[in-house]
Amino acid sequence: MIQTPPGRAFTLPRKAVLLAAAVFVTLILVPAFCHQGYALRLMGMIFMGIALASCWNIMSGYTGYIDFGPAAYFGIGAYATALLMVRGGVPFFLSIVLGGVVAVAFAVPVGLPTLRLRGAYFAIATFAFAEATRQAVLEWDRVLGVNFFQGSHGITLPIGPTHQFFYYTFLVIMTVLFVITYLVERSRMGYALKAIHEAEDAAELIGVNTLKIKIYAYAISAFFTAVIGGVDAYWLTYITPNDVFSVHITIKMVIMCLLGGMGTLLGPVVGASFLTLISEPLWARFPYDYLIIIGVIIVLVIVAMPKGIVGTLLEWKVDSRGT
Amino acid sequence: MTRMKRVTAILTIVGLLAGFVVVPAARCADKIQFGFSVPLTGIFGKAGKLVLDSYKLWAKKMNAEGGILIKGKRYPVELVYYDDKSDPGVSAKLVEKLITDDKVDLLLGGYGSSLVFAASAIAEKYKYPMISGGASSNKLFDRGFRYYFATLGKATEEVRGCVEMLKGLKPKPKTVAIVGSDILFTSLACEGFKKYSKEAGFKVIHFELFPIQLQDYTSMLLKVKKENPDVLLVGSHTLVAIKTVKALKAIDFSPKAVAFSYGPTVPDFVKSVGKLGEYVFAASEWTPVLPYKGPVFGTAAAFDKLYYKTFHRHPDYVEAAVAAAAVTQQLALQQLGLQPPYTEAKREALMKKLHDIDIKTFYGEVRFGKDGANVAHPPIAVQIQHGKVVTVYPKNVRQTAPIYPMPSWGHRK
Repeated sequence: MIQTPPGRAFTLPRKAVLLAAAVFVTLILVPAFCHQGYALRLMGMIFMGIALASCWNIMSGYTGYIDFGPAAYFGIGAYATALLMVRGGVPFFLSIVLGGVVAVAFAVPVGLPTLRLRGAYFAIATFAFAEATRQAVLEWDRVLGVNFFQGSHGITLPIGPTHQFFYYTFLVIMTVLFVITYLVERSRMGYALKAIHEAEDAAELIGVNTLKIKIYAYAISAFFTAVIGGVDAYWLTYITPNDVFSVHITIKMVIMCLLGGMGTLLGPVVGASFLTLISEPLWARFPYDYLIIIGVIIVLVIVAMPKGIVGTLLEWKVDSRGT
Repeated sequence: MTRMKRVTAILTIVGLLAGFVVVPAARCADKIQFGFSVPLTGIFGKAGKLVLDSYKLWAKKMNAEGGILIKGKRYPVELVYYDDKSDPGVSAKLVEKLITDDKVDLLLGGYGSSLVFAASAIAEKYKYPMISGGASSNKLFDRGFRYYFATLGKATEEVRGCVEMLKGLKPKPKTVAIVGSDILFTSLACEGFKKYSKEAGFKVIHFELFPIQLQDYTSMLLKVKKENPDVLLVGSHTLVAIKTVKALKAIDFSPKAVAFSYGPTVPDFVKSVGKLGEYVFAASEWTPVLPYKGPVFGTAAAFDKLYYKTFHRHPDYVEAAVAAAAVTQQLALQQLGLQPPYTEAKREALMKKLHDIDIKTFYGEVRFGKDGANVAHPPIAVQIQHGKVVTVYPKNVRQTAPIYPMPSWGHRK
């Protein structure tokens, strides 16, 4: 039996499940009372941040394989959704799911060789993949003499429905990811992922098919990242390769997850909410300096809580029980 | 970990969160709040600051007069703005914040095509007119929007003046090479260069778009040098123009003429490249020497003078277009006699008025086509001569004749 290290396998007591359900119901009811477009958009953005950080967490948080290329799947999802909707007249929800499927179709062949790499090599390979995808979309039309991705001209989508629509869409995606993370964490797969993190060779020796497990996690992560990319494309109404394949998307996912705590269920939730909530009031007041302030805050938090906010709190809890 | 450390850590986080509770700005009914999102950081940060200065100058000018005079009452101008970090998602969010949270009366346009794309979609959704002076990509006008306008011409149109000027030169150039960075605005400029070059009877012997992140331009330009074109046309932003000029010198490549879609008119250009920038041409839509005149700022020259007095630098045509956008909305309000608060019905009336407007300003004539683009504005061409931007086309308004062919690097002082 694989013993999970303390602080990592965080079992949710019944009370916590009830609390999570209560939060979910409250969030469903919020738009009925709050008609303010900005507040709903902001919450939608927080949900999106949590969902993205969760995608990264499922793969990199649990296995410790630092994926620096999720922006590729975000962009693939955005472009698949845009092209399906604009060219094919496919309905939105079907488009985002198909976008996710396209991402998985890329993730499996990309994962097969790259997931055999370890440490910095894996990070560099995924980063290169994301950059290559961006460049391919940018140059496709000119090189092949076609009119498909429209290169740097980007694609215009129809103006989307109300904020409530996007609020609920992201709420659902975020909740689904939360539940998946919860289920993965306590499944055989979850233990295997953590085992890969702790001692991959040992895990392999005792019969864990590590490559298969990593591919599963990578594909799940890619699927949902692409779905989120598709929703975001519809929300923004206009996409270009430089915007949806941007390395900033990757960096945001990594930082949110690190701040909250890698490999924890609540880490992405706390990290994404914390980062959005501190930056919102800051940029309005210090338009020129807020990026520096946020940088200092991130450093302070990481120094005070090296395992992320949730990770460190869990450690303290274990500490105080033990001593 | 000790108890003390934990307490410190928790206090840090709680303190950080609690320290920044948002306090809504107090509203005053007797003024008009204009909101906009503008890039102050990121790839458009430099240009975004110019846009901000331009709006500040307009607000200062209006407030010095006591505000905008509407139906006998003066309403001071207040600007509410945020940095969109050159990120379209943030830009959309901010415009939504301005409309629904800050509840500004009206909007002003931002800078950068992809940012304005996202921002104008929100403005259209909430029915707020948005006149931009800092975005001109053709696609912005293909969306069937009714609330979006621009004082600049379309990106492909902007470079027409440059090509027409080249056509009139003696000896007439025969071959052109076109290169540009692969982002929306500059690639459109390249397409404009191509279209008008063909119309002018030039042979396009090289066409290449390169990634905006490209660091070293020498190998890309060596390819062009090999083909030996008479003219090099560059779809550029300021930084692209600066890098191109430096690389041309480095590989000792001097075509008979070099023309940029954007860059040399920005003061930073001459500051960064110094003498290397001599003789280059650039597309423009406005210079202070043009015989334009109108309310608010007076003549083109008077606008330039006031700008210089306030910021100690001369305005570029984008800054003029931005101020003209603010002026246009203001004149429409005044002509309609529309006083705040601006309800949806009033904003719709303003939008309809803007579709019919035909005014003369320091920036030239402003008249919007059905798609919102300014159709009354002729493109011009400028050249750097003795470190100064001078107007060389069209002939009837030019300050001096263009210097052509450009002396080769070896024959310069």
